[in-house]
Amino acid sequence: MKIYSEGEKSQAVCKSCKSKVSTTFSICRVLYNGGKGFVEDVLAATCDNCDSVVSIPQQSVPRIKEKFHSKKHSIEVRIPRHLLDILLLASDRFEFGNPELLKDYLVRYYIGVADSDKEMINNIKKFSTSDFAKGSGFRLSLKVNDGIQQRFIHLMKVTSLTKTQILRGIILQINEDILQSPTKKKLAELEKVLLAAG
Amino acid sequence: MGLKVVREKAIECLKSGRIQHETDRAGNLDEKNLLVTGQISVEEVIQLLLSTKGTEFETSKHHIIRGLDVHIFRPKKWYIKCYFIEPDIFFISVH
Repeated sequence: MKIYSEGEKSQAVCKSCKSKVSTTFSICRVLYNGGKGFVEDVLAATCDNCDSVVSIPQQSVPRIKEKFHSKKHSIEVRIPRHLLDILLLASDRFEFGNPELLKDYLVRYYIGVADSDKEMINNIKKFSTSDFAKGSGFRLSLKVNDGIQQRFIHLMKVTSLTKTQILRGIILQINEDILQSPTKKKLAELEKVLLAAG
Repeated sequence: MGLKVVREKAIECLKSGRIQHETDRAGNLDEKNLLVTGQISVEEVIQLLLSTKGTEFETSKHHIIRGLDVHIFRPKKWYIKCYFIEPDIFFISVH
């Protein structure tokens, strides 16, 4: 795939100069919606005569896409304080940084993998209705992207559980995997995930 | 150039990543170009070009640059407008 670099020359049609012009790729702020919206730090081609942004290479699309479609969803539930402590303890075990942030990566990862893991789905069902899962003294708010949100909704469908029950089940699965019965394999897998995420 | 030649050339550019997207008169990105906003993928555009019939293709002149052919594909209610400035393809619209 062709990758353009900053300073590279090309050609394009410049509507301001009304001609085919020589262009140079540079990092620009690209506007849209009549100038009401913008995307920063986009590689774009500017006219060598008038400096107008005249074209955008395909390689800049992921950055633009992020701006247009990076919808964040919020999953909010109430859980007992000891479930929050489990999340923080489990996150802290890896010692990569702030457990408060790592706990969110951990939960998002479990939502992502539970969707296609029958054993984990069964565990979530079992854990979510246990006495240990009961209580509601603490509010947990989790920001997720479209992909995780879709998996979460799918999980709700296949388990017939509420979002609160699913998150409680997931936290207790994390408790099993990291705090109660950790295996080297599982810890190594999670370590890679948190290392990359953090 | 007929459909077959234009399509082959367009797909070659798409596969090799030699793709640029035209901005509007004010230098803004055009939200009607769903390829630049990431709502359609390069692979999907290739499939749309491959499914275009002869009656769904036309070529006209660029409204500013004399001698520059603008190609329009209209497969499956899509509207794909592009031209070539060698060695790249430039998309005006994909919606």
